[in-house]
Amino acid sequence: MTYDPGIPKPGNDIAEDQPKILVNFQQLNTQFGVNHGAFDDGTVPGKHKHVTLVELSQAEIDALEPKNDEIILYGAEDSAGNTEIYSKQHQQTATQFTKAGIPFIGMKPQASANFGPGAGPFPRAAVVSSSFNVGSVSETADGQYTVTYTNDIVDATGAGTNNYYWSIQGFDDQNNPVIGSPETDSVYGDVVKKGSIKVDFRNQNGTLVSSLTRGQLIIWSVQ
Amino acid sequence: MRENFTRILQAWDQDHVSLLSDQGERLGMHERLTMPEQAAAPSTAANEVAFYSQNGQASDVYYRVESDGASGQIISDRFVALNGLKLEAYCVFNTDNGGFLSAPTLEKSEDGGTVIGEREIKSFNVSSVTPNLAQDPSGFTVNFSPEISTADYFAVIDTFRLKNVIGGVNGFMQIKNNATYSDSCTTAKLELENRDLQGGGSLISANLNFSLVSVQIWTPSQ
Repeated sequence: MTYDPGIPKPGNDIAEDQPKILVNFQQLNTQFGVNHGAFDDGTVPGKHKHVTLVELSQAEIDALEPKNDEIILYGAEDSAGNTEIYSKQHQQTATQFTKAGIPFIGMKPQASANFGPGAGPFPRAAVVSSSFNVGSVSETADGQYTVTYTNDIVDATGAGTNNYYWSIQGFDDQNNPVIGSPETDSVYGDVVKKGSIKVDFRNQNGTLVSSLTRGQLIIWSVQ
Repeated sequence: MRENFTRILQAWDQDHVSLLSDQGERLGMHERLTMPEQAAAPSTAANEVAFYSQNGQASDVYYRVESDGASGQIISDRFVALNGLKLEAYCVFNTDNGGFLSAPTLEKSEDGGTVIGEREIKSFNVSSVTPNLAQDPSGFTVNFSPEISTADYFAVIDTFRLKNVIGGVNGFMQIKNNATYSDSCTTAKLELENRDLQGGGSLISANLNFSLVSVQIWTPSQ
């Protein structure tokens, strides 16, 4: 049974059109209720339960012409072959808004940790105050830490990579500069790995900082 | 039948341009999306993607990729969620007085071209940056408003050097270290200081080294 916009028809007997009118109301309620609280919903009528965007064809995308002061969100296939959300504003080229489950900005953070020294003999577990995608932080020497990721750092194709970007800040309570970086005086591939990174914190003389209180780390990769 | 038409009108008008609107060209469009939290992610077929709301750190926005694939968080408690982190504040300030970097906005002209508009401050959720000394500042206090959700955040600090190193002074902008962590990093402020890497690590005037300092504050979004 489908919606019939031609109901009721002039000249038809009401008894003939009445069931078709009922079908029309039922179809309106059913189809509106796919993404919305349906007309007969007792709690959220009209509000969106969710918004499902079907993938538009290129011809449909080309026909999108938002007017001034309008924005259109739509679904389209991206370069990876996935249906993603795009936005288009008046007289602007479209922008990809999502990619593989997160907003798309070209880069994405993949791990982070706010941590401090632990207790006991080296290598000792660090105290992690907050983190994302970090399974553990261990202190291998004064001012030296190994941060192990829960999941490997990956490139845009999903393959593990050690070609990523880092930001490292250090803090101690002494009057020193504290410069955080991947562990120096080492081979890059031994220090920066897809599954972990070794970092150290040194002062102006290149000496490892023994009084480090906190380290802050973020790892980024191409999205 | 009138009861049906009334309910249809009320529900339709909740989020869409009203059925009674005289804006003919906008009939059928959305004015807003109001999304009550869902208990579970909605199902998606092939070539579909779905927006919805769930309780994360608040009534947050998520989306689910096609074919009942993975769900991702888009909004986390007022901020864009980016793969587990969210950017809660940033600014770029100058080291002469802590003033924010500003840049001219680009605006559209009447003929559809682009013209240079008013200068716009480049900061987000940073109310001010205060030099710790009015003269010859070696450090700055970055004040957040609203406050950051946790003091255990991840700071990104970068500098732009307009001048060559002067007289052996080679500065390094960092979190203020001659204090406890909770003095330097709070939900309301971040204390910064500049130290001389070639002069024994002593505090030095920031504007001897840098013209601009950029600060980003990231926190977990999940």
